[in-house]
Parts: sequence; structure tokens; C-alpha cells
Amino acid sequence: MRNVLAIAWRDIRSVFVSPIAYVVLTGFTLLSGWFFFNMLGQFNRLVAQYSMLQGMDTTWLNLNDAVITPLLGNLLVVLLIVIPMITMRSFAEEKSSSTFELLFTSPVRVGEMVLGKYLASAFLVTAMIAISLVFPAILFIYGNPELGITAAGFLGLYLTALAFVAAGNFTSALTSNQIIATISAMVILLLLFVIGWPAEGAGEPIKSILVYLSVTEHFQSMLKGVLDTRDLVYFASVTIVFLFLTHRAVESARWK
Amino acid sequence: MNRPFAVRVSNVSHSYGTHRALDKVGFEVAPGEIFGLLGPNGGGKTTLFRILATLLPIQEGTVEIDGHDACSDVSGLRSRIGVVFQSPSLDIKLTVRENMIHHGHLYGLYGAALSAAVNEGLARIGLAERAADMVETLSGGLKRRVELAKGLLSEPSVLILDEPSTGLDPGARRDLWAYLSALREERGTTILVTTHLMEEAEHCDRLGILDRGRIVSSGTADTLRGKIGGDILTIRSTGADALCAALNQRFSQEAEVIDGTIRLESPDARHLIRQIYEAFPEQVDAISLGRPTLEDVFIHETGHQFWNE
Repeated sequence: MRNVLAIAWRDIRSVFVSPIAYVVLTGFTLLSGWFFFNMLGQFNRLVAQYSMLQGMDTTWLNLNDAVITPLLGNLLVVLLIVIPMITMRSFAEEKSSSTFELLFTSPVRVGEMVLGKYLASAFLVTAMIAISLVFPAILFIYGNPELGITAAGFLGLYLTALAFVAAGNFTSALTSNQIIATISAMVILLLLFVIGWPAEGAGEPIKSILVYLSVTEHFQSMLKGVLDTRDLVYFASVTIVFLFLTHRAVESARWK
Repeated sequence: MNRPFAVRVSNVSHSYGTHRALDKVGFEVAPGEIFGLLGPNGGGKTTLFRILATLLPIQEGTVEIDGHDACSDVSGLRSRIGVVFQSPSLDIKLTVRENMIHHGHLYGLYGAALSAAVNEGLARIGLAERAADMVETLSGGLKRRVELAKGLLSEPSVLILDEPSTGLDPGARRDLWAYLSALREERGTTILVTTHLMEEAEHCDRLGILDRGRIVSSGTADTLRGKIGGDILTIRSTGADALCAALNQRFSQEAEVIDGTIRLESPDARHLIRQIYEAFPEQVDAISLGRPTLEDVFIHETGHQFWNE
């Protein structure tokens, strides 16, 4: 475990001494803030309009449905673009220099390398999502959204992000070119995002398979506040599969 | 346990597809010895370096370093070697000290032991004052020193360096070799160097000359030069082939034409100059006499120039 933390620490330190971390965190915060305040403004306008109309059913108008759920949906799309930019460096940058080979000559195991790199990328993503928690915090201070639904939604976003990080690290382990790593990761993440689209017109068992593979389906389920073991298993499975594939990719790169 | 050798390479062969990069290479390096693998580019040095550094699997033969077999005990072997690559392996966005600390962590060094090792390493390479500087601000020579300090942080018994002088100015090269010699004296570290530079090879206690995947000769630089058994005459002529044939017939020599120049090894070369001038005054454009160099040894052993790849 010490080797894992050593590798993670080096990568985290390296990212935070360069502008990368600050640009990513600032960009993500600005975008999520833009989404949040627009949705909140829209919600306030709706509340004002409906309050003028007597006898209208306004029970459907709540902070969770009108602000938090669409905000998390938008953040997921932003993560789909930002995470490949975070993970592109993890292996690709080292492969383009001798630092990768130096790691191979040390007594560190490939599994430790893979986990260390994953933790480093996951750390930055965790920081991003942690910052975005300020928005529900504002809502809790000035309103009364449902805690369970909000927590489940953010957990869904976080688990999806962790799975995306594993996929991004995998593509980074395949190449020494960071642009190729980024684009390949975006393609994989987009595929996970849209794979469920043809499910509606497909027959069984294809339909069930596509629905199960779709990250959107599982994310939507958590957005509703449902903590289903199937969703948790799905996110864990995607993460583990990509970590395994990364391990294989690094192991094969060792002997090239 | 005292072993007669720190590195033992036996019958190592390696192929890339149909190309045989190493062919039954074998040598031993004694503890505390500086051993050089001298050869032209494409001779197999990099392949051998990568096998010794455990970056390539062993296809045939065995490699043993400090009692650890490269096949059955690769993890133990890695803990006993320090590797310095030709291309930089430093994280330029981190400071000198952070690079050292990270490297120490990979070798299981932490806390006070790591601090002491880092401080000692930085002092040894004369970079204690610049420990807090970003690596990207250092010159090529200083970066190389940091690489060396990193390679030595875990106190390896064998230090493997790939073309260590590449990219260094003459002053930095002198410093590097002075440092390596001091390291051997003080710590008894065994040093294995791959190089294509004759000047660099002269610093080694013993050399293995590597050509086309084979060790064609090995020994001290003096022993190798002694194999030539005389001085070297180099003759330039517009009709080199004809003159070479005439020389061999007239003086019963084994002169040969290499890259348009006649080359002749002879224990009596000084007297032969005059005889050649007298016998072929019109054909000889220029003639020079020299003590054998390692390049001459290479030509003697391989029959071709060092740089004709």
C-alpha cells in the first residue's frame, strides 16, 4: 500500500505544481456555478409565477427536481469531457519519458502502479465533486431539498466519475500520446453514456444488456434517490474491469 | 556472502522477430569493478542494458546480479540495482528533493532514513544548495547528477548506466567519471556502463566489446590494445585496393582496405614506413603511424570500422 500512496502522492504533487489542477478545478467550478445559478433562477421564476396563480398544484415544484437533478445531469456531461483531460497524463506522459521505465526497474508491482495512478486521478475528481457540494449546501441553507435524494444523486455522480477515471487511465496506458488518450477516453465514456439509446426498439435479451451497460440508466436510478445494489455493483464492475484492463496494458507495455 | 562476481551473464540471446540482437553473450563483473560494454549503435548494447535493468524478459541464457536471478527472483534483483537511463527520467515539475524522495519511497525508504539518504546523496553530488529548485531549471549536467543520486539512493550493489556521458559537455563528463570512481572507492559499488565513446571506455577497469550481438573481445583496455601486437599504419592512396594488394605481396603483411583507407598492423611499423615510401613513392598520398586505440581493437576484432553501421 505504501508504494501505491507513493505513486499517487508524486502524481498529485506533480499536477498541483503545474497549472493543470487549478485550470480544471476553476473551469469545473465556473461551469457548475453557471448551471446552478441559471437553474435556481429558473426555479425562482417558476415559483413566483405559480404563486400568483391560485389553486394551482405546485407540489411537483421542488428543489430536487427543478435544480439538483438537472444540475447533476449537466455535471455528468461536463465530467465526460473533463475526466479524460485529467487522466490523459497518468501513463501517457510517463511513457513518453524514461520515468515509466524507471518505475519498471524499481521493486514496485504493476498493480501498485495502476492503483497509485488511479488514486491520483480520483483525488482530483474527488476535489471537483467536493467543491460542487457547495451548491446543495446553499439550497439546504435557504430551502428544504430532500437530503436522501440529494445524497444519492451526488453519490451516483461520484461513482460514475470514479468509473470514468478508471476508463481514462486505461486509454492513457495504451499510448504515449496524450491527445490520443483523451480522445479514446471520450469515445469510451460517450459510448457508455449512449449505449442504452437503442434499447427501446431492441428485443430481449439485447434490450436488457444495453440497459444494464448504460451508465445513464444507473445514474438516473440514483438521481431518483434509489440506492439499488445493482447500480452499486455496476459502477464497481466498470471500475474494476477498466483497472484490470489497465493492469494488462501496463504489463504488456513493460516487455515492449 | 562474498561472491567472485557481482554480475554474471551467461549465454544470453535475444531476438526481435527474425533479427538476432544478442547472440550467446556472456561475461562476469567482479564486485567493485567498473565494466564497460563498448560497441557501435545497433551492436546490442541497449538490448543488453534493458535485459540487465529487467526491462526485457530473458529469452535464452541467465543473468545473475548480486546473487539474484533475473528470471526467478526479479523483485530481489530490482532491489539491488540502480539504473540510470540515457534519456532523462526525472519529473521536471518537481524539485530535486521531491524527485529523490519519490524515488526513495519506491525503494521502501521513509522517514529519518530517507531524509538522511537524500541529504547525503544531495551533498555527494554537490546539489544540496539547489535541493528546492525545480528540476526543469537545472542544466543537463546537473540533471545527470540528480539521476545518479537517485540511482544510488537505495544503495544498490550494482549501478547500471546507459551511455552516461551522452549530452554532457567535457567538464561535466570529467565530473561524472570522477564521481563514479569515488563511488567505487568509497562504497565498493559495481558499475556497469554501456557506451559507444572510446574516451568513456578508457575509464573502465575492463571492457567487453559488443558487435552485432556478440562479445567479440573482453579485458582491460591495455590488454585489448596489446592484442594488436604492434603499431598501426594508416595509408591513404587513390588506388587503395591495388596498393593494398601490392603491400601484402611485397612485405608479406595483412593490410586491408577499410573505408578507402589502407590499414596495417605491424610490430615493426616504424621501419615499414620508410620501406613503403621507397617501394611505392607514387601511390602513397599520406601515411601515418599510431599506437593502437580501442577503435583499432574493434577493427582488429570485427574487420570493420566502428562507425560504418
